[in-house]
Amino acid sequence: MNNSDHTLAKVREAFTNSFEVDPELVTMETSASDIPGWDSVGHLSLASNLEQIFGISLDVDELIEMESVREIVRIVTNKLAVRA
Amino acid sequence: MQANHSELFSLSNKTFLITGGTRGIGQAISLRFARAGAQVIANYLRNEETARGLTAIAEKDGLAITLCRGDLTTEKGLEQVVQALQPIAPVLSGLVYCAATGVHRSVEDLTDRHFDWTFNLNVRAFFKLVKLLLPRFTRGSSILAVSSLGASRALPYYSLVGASKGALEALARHLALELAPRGIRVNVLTPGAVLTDVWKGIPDSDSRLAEAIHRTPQGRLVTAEEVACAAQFLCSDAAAGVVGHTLVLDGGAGITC
Repeated sequence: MNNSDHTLAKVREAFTNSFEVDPELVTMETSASDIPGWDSVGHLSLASNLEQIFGISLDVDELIEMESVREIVRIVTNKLAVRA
Repeated sequence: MQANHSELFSLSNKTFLITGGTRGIGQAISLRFARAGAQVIANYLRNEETARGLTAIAEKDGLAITLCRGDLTTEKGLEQVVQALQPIAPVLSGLVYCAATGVHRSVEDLTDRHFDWTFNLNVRAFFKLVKLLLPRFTRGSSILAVSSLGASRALPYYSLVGASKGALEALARHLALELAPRGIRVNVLTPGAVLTDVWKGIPDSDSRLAEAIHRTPQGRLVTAEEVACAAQFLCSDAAAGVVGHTLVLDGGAGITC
């Protein structure tokens, strides 16, 4: 499993914790329209789960950019790279 | 001549912006208002699929609902909303502030950022949006802030959302005092537990919903449609004398021990 796959796997975990969805349904192409609970409340639940799972802090701008799984993986990957 | 019953409750010839207007309670309010004759601009942010679903219902039923996407926590998003209003609603009859968010965690797991995220949308954006829209509100306009029981009652994992709703209610009352002389009424609508997708993100939701039903004399949860009917009343001419009021719609849960 490469770094990107590993990150996606943990992002899926955050989705499962936030929305009780099957992790296999969460792909890089998934957006809010694909997840029934991904609204303004769900978004913050997802963000706080991502923070907990990855040990990162998300700022407001990053929250706004998190419109798809692809964007989330990009943001998380960048934050982990800065920390490394 | 005095208005008849249906005219009093009608929203014909009125235009409303409904934030968070494509899902859950907000969607029910958008549909109810449009069915009562209003032109509705339904603001949303994330879920295109649900927004398209609302458009489909509106087209099928011949309702005047227009979508307006914009993040109310950002200057850009607020500007998008104002720009979208310009051609279709240069003047407004009212605003229903239904957009809300929050982090549902225990206090030791909450952070300063969670506080800011929650208050930015639930309180600050309401304040900014009302200020931006003030020149558009006509005499007889109605601003309605949708709150929750957490504003006055304590619930597990609800400290930030509850505190933000308390602030929202207080802000609405102060706005009511200042805006009433301009002919703009401001009120608060506080639903009890309503079964929407929001509950999917709340810990222990099944047991909490069961508890809510147990405490409600009606033996069931209030529905989003019932909340929408109360919103219609508060935004109609029938409520012309209702100013700075918080209407609780909880099926009687608040009167039980």
